[in-house]
Amino acid sequence: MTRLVVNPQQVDVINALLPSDTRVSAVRLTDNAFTLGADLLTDCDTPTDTYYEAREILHSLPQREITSEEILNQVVSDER
Amino acid sequence: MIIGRFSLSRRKPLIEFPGIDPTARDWQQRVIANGGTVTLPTLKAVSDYIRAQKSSGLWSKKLYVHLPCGDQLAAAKVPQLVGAGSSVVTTFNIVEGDFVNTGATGGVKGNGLDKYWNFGWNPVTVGASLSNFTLSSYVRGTELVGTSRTILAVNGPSINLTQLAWAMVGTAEIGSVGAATTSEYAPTVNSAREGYLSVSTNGSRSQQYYVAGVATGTPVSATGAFFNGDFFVLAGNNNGTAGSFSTRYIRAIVISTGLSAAEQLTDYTIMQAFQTALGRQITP
Repeated sequence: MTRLVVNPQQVDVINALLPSDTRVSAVRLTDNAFTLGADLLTDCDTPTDTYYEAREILHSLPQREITSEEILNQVVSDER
Repeated sequence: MIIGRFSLSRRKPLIEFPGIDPTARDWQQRVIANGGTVTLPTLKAVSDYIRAQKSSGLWSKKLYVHLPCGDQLAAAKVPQLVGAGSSVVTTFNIVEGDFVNTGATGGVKGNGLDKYWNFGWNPVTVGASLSNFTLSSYVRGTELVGTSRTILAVNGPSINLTQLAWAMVGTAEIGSVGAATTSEYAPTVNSAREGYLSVSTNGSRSQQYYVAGVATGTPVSATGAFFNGDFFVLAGNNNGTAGSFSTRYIRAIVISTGLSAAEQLTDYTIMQAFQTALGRQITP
């Protein structure tokens, strides 16, 4: 699956941009990288899209192919 | 400005339909305020559900009702009965494509990895009764897998578990209301369970599991408490951290006070009619 590589500070920036009822939280990989689902990019380009306010930073994140074996756990943002 | 049955605002047209229950109309207006829309057939299905609940005397037992439906995710995030919960649920990593209003893929689908929501309902701050409590969810999909998958839950570290889930304890579909330990789960048999699933206490700490309104499995008594936290959906709130993510489709989340066996069957019948109206019913 394709994921977006992100760091915890970027997660907080994204959440600060989004409406209070919309949040992202990162999944940590076995190599301690943090990732978000690439499907966020399918819902951020037009003003009515769920993640529109964070579109610029979402599009700037590098993409990475990962396997399910690489997934360590899910990290909840401090913004929750 | 109001013209006949149509009231126009600057942002979106507000279309009021005659013959719709006032509680359903209130929900429709909250959907519009959240940037969503709802078609007449869906609004009528919600109205029929609420009216049937009211006429059967069950609406007054409802503490929270969320039937995710409408034309887009913004509509689906608005509960029909907010109670002590959030007026709009807080979604995590859920995108528009995760929600479908009608048909076989109707509901909000999890991915078993990072998608879930919090509806701001904490049984401790609400003051819910451990011996008079019902947790229900309408789901599509089974998870006969080698790991726990949660429909909705709040719990401490392996204690005070209130939930509906596929659990690895006995590898069973389970429910619990303040279970002190995993041995206090009310399980069903180890087979696929989908549709309207519910666990209820009704006048005692005895927990009864229900599938499609019918008591299933042996009642189990619980001795724990509610954990002080919000329920998560498509995942469990495990001491403040989301985990045990589900891949199922969530079509309803309902919290009620205690329901008798007869009330469970009535509640199911009304719920099944609603899901059928949207073409997303599960045949028991």
